[in-house]
Amino acid sequence: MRPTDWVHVIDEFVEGLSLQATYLDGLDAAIGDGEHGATMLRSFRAVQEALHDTPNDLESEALVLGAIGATLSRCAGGAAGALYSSFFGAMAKTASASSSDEKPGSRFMSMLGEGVGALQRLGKAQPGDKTMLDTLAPALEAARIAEREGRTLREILSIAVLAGENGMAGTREMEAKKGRASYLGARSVGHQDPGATSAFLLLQAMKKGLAGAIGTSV
Amino acid sequence: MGQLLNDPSSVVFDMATGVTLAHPHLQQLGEYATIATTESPLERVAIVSGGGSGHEPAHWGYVGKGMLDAACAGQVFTSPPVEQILDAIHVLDRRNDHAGVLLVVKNFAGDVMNFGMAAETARNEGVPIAVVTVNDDVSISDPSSRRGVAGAVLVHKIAGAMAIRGAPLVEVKRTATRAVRNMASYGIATSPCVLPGAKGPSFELADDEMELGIGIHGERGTATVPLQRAGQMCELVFAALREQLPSLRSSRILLLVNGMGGTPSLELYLVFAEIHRLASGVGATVAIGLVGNFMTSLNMAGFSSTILLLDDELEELLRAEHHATAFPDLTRQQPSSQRAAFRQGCRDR
Repeated sequence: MRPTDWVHVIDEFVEGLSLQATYLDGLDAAIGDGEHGATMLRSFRAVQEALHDTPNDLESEALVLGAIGATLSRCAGGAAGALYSSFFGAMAKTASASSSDEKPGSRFMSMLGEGVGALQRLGKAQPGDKTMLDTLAPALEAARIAEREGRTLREILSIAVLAGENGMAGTREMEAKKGRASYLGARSVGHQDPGATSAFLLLQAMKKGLAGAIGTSV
Repeated sequence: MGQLLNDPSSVVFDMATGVTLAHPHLQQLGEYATIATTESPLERVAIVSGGGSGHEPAHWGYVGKGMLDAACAGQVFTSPPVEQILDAIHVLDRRNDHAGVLLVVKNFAGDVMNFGMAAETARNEGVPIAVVTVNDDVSISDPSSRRGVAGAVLVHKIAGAMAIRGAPLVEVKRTATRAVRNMASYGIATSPCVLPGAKGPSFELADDEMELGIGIHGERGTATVPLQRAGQMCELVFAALREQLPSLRSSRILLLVNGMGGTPSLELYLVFAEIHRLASGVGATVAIGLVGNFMTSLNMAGFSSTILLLDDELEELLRAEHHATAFPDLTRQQPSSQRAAFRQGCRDR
């Protein structure tokens, strides 16, 4: 994957967040304080601006991902800001450690795996707690299986998005154990989690940004 | 409902500008909405807190000699980002020449993570740093999930006063932790709040309903029930506090009634009278009473109540002189040695 592919991922993510901001706010209003969409959009718009302001500094995937994490650390705030800055920071570390000979599919898998691992360590959520992890963990698991089967990056991403969508929908009937929704206890059941929803939008953005580019060698 | 703002996306900075203009002994640190004292050098452990905006006067209202040295304000109901907190730590660490920084953090996922990551980075850089987590809201049964609410303000005061005494970081943290262990809070809302620029309230609540077990971010509480008279509400609140603090009977206590932002002072004092009566009824002595908006949720109507079990040291620390704009002056018959220490900025180490 090229560094600019990740810039496209952020562009696609911002577009998705922009289209869904009101919807995300609505999901958050049911079980939180109603600002998840606005917060995510503000945070990732800042990332988008930072990336477009310094195009010459983005020579490698690791640098782009590091810049995303660093911008979030400066500008985002909130649980989402902390978690996503950790997620992208871990992906950046993995990107710089992996060799350029690695196939895109397996490279993506290591990065996503480390990213999700960092999220779990920081947020301390378990699958079933009704969080972004309930979208990303199933996506990671399905992607791992696909990668082992020798599928292309494009296929791995499509499979990840599908699994993520199921995971996101599954949060509806979960009782929140983490985050603001957890204060509502059983009253959080019956509402899809906003964090899981924006995480799904990120997976979609990754698919569009990483596998949509013409000439991507997958 | 009409709001007083220009651009919803700049409300926090617009507010911060007003704060430093209204209170010239306060300054904004760099590019962030962090409010700090102008005291430099600082001859004591520095106390830092903060969190989302929308809880005013928390947290900038508690910045002042003898209380907080800096408060980091995030976007409304959103914890400040890691770098903002780290910047404040760096400034204070320079000002107090590595005497140590204590972070007072409320037990919310965002606050814990952002303040935690800042503390970890600072620690790795060699800054002496400690964190005390406030989780006084007893409406949630699992203590590790309990929110930090109005009780945090008392922790700011106790920690700030300990620092003025010249206490080292580890002792400031120990005393602050003791305070957290001996306090309990519980809140009820009679109306939700409206975020800046939002089209509607943060949740729906009918005129004849009340929301039990609220936090401070405009979210629903543990249950929606029919509205009761103040007397019954206070019995419910007092019962929750008493369950958490069984040694309440025949203790000296601090009793705080905190307005959620949209409740008239008239109602808050009425509520205070009710809870005071209930506390006295079980043999507690209300040594310190506090009534007002201390940790609000924008314009939410309702109140929370905090009880802190006092010992001589905690009571002295609460009564010690300070310069924060939003905490009352509780000094009375302070020994002259303590007044001199305050003037100096700390007791001789």
